[in-house]
Amino acid sequence: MNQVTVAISEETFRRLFATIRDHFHESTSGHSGGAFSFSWNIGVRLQNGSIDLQPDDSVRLSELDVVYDPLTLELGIDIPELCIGGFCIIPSPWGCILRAPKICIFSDNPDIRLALNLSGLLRSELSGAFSIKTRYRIDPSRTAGMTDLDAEDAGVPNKWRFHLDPIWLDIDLIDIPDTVGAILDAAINNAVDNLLFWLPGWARDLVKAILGSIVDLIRAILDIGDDIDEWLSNLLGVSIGLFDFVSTIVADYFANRYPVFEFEDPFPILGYEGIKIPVKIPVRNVSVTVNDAEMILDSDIGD
Amino acid sequence: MKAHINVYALNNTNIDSASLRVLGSLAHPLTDPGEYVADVVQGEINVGTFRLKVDPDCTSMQADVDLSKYDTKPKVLPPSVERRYSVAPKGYLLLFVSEGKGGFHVILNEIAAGKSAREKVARRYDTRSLEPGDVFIAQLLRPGIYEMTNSLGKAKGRISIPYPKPLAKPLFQKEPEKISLRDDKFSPDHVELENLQAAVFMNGMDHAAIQVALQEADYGKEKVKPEGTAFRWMNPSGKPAK
Amino acid sequence: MALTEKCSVYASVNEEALNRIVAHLMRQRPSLFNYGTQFFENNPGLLCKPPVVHPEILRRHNPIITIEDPLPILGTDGALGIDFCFQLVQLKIDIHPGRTVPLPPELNPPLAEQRFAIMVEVCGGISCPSPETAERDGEVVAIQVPSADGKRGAETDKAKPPVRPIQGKNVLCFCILLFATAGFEIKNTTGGPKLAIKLFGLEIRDITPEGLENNLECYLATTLRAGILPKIRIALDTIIFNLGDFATLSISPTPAPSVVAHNPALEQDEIRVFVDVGV
Repeated sequence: MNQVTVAISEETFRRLFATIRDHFHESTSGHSGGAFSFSWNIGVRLQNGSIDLQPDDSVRLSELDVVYDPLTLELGIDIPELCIGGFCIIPSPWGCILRAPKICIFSDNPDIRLALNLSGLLRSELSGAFSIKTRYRIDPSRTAGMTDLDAEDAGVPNKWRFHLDPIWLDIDLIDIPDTVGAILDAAINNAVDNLLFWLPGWARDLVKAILGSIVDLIRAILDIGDDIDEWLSNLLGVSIGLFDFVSTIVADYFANRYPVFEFEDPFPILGYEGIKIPVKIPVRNVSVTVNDAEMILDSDIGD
Repeated sequence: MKAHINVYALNNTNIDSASLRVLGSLAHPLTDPGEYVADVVQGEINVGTFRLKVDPDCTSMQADVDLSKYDTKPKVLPPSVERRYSVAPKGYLLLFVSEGKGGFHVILNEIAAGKSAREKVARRYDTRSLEPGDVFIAQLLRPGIYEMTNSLGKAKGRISIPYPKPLAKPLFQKEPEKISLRDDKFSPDHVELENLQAAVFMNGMDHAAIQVALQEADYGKEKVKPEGTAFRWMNPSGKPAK
Repeated sequence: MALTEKCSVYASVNEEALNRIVAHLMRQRPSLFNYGTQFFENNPGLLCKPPVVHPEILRRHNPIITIEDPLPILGTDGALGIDFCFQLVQLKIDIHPGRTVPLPPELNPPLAEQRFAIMVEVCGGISCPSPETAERDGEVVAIQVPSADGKRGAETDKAKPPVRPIQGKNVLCFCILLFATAGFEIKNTTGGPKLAIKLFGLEIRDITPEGLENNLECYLATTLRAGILPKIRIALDTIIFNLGDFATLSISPTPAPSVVAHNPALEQDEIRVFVDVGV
């Protein structure tokens, strides 16, 4: 029979989960090339979500919002060469006898950079099932010669830790609001204006007229098609590998980096009193079980 | 890669067959076989030469010479480099300027076959005076009202170009508007071109120099001449900012 | 029924764990259980039962005993005293229903509900001087002319160390068994809610005459209530492994008897604590 038992209600467990959920903030950045180049800087936070303790010794997580903030994408697009002329002046039944020369207004495939700031606008939803793993952590900074009291004084005491170890994780596709399309269009117009800003207004308008709808042109270059949601989701999920990144870092965060609960070992029951040392109790044989009402920690007091 | 923008193309509003710049091209017919040495002159400075052979064995009906290669700033070709061109009889020598400040005219000198450039036989053609059969192509970009004149005569006319509509369907070049110059008259003498549509002058006079110059610019929505916008912010929601 | 059916966090510690905790407390805070004069601080080997202490006590130069003033020798106007030591040597706790600590009849066995029994071996002793030393020091004190405030000379409350053999033959030790019944209560302090021990009854086994026993029992009970037990109060958060501090939760005891019958509860050889977590 265990000597010490601590039971944490499901509601309190949710509070513990909220603490580690709110502490989560990871980021990724990178760049890639292809039909168009793009780079990204994406931060990930977690919000909401419901936690339920299960009778099978597991913890079920539902509807955890994954908020991408910041989420900045920079797309590099080459605008095709823009030339005039080249038309036939003197045609004949055997072909063109005299053809006008081609004069280029834009050459060398000018690129424009679209900066898209979608911070806080996109969300995913994450669900999963976890078991609770008990780990005994010895801080790497603790040197061999340290006593338990030395370690406590140095801030590197040993700890019993309880981690949410993922069994499986699901991420739903990104929820993209309608404003993203407008943001993309505005970014395109901004980028073209920035490219041409130094030109007089009529020249800018002429270039834009020649290019036709800039937005349509660039959407065609980006292969956006009718469904910007699908395009953006594919860009983030497949090209950038965002979903894989999120699930990996969430799993690692809960399983290895941030425990849902921890306490020192030996455990201090009385603190320093002047020069009198703290009274610390060794805790042994720690185990955790979960039922649908509570999480139960069992342990023994060591000699 | 950064854009290479043809500034001269966008700024040129005076197109002159006697002083070729970007947007103005000249095609001169070459009927009989022969060899020529052409002097390329920019302003009053001889900036280079090229050789032209009208060769019955050649199948090309036009020889395209980009005079910007001879531009002194930046110097593209050293003066000693001589380019050679061939064209079939009844073909055309096409002179044009792809970029740069331009201001060229060309003098064709006939030489005896196989002889060096110094052994010129006779001056045959000067682009500053158009001959019958010459074709002058004016590619006007700037919207507004232009005046076309024969600076060696009295012919006058008007060309108008509308302000382009941005965000419409892509502009494409229509077939050029052909204007003849005969008896010191342009026909038609009032032309309304569409954006990107060229004006092709077919010269029928013994001596002519066609000039198309902007008289009144069309600034579109802006009432005053714009200084150029450094940055434009656009409201992502599409609604006007308060 | 879930352990947390009526609370946010539940904790239970059985008596075996409690006794182990007490053992650790005695080794790591020996000055709470050992008292004496400077003589015994300087000569810990002469204590009646030299305590086994944790190595950190020695490494960090922590006190082994709490230093007290010598017992005053009456008639010397506070000039002379006798070295003494007082130790709680062994301590055993037995939670209701209480099967391992045999309560004396004076404490009305069987152990009442919501109580625990304590059995303590208390040892003590004085450093008894030789008759010659006592007479000599007494003469010195007696011939001193008292000052206007009644004190004799500058040497007041001076305990002259008696001559004694190294084996401590002159330290007169005794040990007695002491029994007590107590309970736990939760006290609100400036440091938050804390678990405190409340003493109900105390009995020394077999001291005569009865009047002497009663006096000693009173003195010991008062010493426990006023001196020692207030220093052994454990924070409520500590009992739940500092959960409140870890998750920045505000904790408070579950109200009793409105929500739970007793808080803490002493039953089935365990102490059980019920904690609520605030918003």
